[in-house]
Amino acid sequence: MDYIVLLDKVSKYYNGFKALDDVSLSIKRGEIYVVLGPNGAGKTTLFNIIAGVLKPSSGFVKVFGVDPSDPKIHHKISYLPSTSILYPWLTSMENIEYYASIYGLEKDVLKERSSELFDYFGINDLKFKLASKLSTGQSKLISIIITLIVKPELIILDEPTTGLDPNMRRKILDLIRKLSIENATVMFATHIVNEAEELMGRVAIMDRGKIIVEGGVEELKKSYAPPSVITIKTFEEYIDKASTILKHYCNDVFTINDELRIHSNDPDMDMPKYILKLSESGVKISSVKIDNPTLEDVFLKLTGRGLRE
Amino acid sequence: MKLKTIIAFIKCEIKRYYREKILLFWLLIWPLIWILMTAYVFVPPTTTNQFINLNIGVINYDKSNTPFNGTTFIKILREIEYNGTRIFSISEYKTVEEAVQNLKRGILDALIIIPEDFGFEIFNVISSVEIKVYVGAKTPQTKQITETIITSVIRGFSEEISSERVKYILSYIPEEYRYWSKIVLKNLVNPVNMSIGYILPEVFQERSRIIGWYTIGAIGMLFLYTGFSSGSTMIISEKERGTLKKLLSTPLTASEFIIGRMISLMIPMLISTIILILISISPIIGAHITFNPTNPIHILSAIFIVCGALMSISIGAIISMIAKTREGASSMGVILGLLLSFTTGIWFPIEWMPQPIRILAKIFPPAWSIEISRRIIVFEPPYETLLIDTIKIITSTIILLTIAITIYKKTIQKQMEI
Repeated sequence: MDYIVLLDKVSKYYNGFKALDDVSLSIKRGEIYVVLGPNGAGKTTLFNIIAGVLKPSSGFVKVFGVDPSDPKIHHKISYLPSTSILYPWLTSMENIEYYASIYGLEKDVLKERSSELFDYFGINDLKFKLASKLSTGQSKLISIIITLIVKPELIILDEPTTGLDPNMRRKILDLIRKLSIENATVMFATHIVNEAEELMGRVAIMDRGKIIVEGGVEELKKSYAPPSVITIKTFEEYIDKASTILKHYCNDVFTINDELRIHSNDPDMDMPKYILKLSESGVKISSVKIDNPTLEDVFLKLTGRGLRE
Repeated sequence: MKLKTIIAFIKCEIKRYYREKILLFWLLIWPLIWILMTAYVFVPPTTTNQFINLNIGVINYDKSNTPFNGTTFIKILREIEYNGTRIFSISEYKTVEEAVQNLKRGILDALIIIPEDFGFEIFNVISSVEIKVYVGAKTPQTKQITETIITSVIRGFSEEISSERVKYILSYIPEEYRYWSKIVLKNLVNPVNMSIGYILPEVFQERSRIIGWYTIGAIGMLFLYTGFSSGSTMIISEKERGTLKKLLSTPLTASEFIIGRMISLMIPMLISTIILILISISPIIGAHITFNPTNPIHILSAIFIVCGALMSISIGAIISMIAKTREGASSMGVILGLLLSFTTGIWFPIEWMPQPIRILAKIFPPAWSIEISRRIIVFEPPYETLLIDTIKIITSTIILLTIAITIYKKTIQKQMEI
């Protein structure tokens, strides 16, 4: 099997803290591999190890068949860390040229590809703007161009959409899907459920340094999420009371901010009952709806916590 | 290592200096201010030779009414000139206490006490006169200078008196014995004849050359504080900016990254050196610097300058081992750089330093490169005399570079493990 990335029982400790706990995974060429998890789940540590910028404490890692810290394979990899990669005193274009030179990209190729990407995102006005003057979202877009311009075989993107508006997010997800069709392998870390679902790749759900489940989006939902989810919005002062009341009638009641997500096999029966019980107890409800389950519900079911917590 | 990558690093670094004004200040404006200070403060336009004016206090106890007495001696002191400038500013005092107070306060450089009957004793061929001199010290350097000047003046005066006395005695000796009597008497009163002469290198005879000498010092200073600072922050600033992770994931090897970055740090320093020299030799400053690119020995001085830059960046790497943050490393680099440029003979002559501090100059390799570059430009010594120094500088550059690369590699390695 043509595995681009292969990890076996990889762990990483930081001063005794286990940031990565026996992680094993394998990614094939052309695959989109999404790592979904809350902040601190270990996504960045995992990506740093695969990109070759961090050494694991134990376990076995191979990327393109060799140790990822070997620079010989780095021309095939392009990594976008979650931190900034731009030099503030350089313009967007100068930053792109700087990294492209390190990858040995020819000037005409660089010009052609950068024009394509600037046009695609519609940000030609940012070409000659100093990086220090760019907003977080704009910096992210330039960093994405830097990552993609070298046309790598393996693209590793750690939270690439942070600070971007929905339109730009969509464009990035579309582009990633397109690159995957062109046989690029993509690793994508996010804590946003929609992104993980829209990319339509294989999803690994991470929590506390472990990959707790892995599979296709529908497969995960089918295995771990209920048929429906009742969402009840209330006010901050009632949320704990509402949660306690509903837990008498259902095991899978989850609180996310001022929202209660109740996993239900029969929402038409359950919803009126829950509303009645809450009203009787004096809990004020602002809205109620029945949703299809998402990967967030898979995460809730498996960890008892929300991704946004 | 690909040239393209080095060029990318250099371009990135130069643009940084161009766009971050504070760096431009340290690299260009500060040395320029220093050179201007050299030209107009340390070596003012009136300077043709090293010149000093001493404040001398005089107490005259002499009441003699002889043709030459205490008053005429004071008049002579007032009129002594060197290169058209009077050496002494004379203030007369009534009491020793008052004059000594002023010596202690640094108002006076020296006090001369003319004894009672000074005039009579001068004319008495069988007696001697004792002039008391107290030397003060406005600065540690002036004590020695004052003592030398006053000793020379009084010795000269004494010789003059002896000569007059010999003439006077000879007038009582019959003509046929005068020739041999003169020789005997002269040798009796002047058992040791001394003449003070100065053989100064050409560089110290002209103001333009003195500024040239200081210009090399300014380059040394620039290397020390910018080299130390940039060398110490090389990895940590990439880390704090977030760019280190990205660079480590690129096809660059750790060695390529380190060497490329070190070269990129060195280039602005060398550009600044060239600009500094150009400004220094411009008519505004008027420094005289001898550099002939066809002269191999001058090329050697340029190589030593490059070695100095590389060594200071390498020492910056050693500083980075102690400093934890970019700000800490940068501050430590600038402070240490300035401190060492003042104490290792780069800016001030090493002879001005106390003996224990002079050891620093002897063990501090960047000071060697500046010292030898200066020697080449000032004295143009023959090749063979530079052989040992060349070996010393090249070897220490290689050793320091190796240490720096090892430290940087270990730092990167550490980053990959934590």
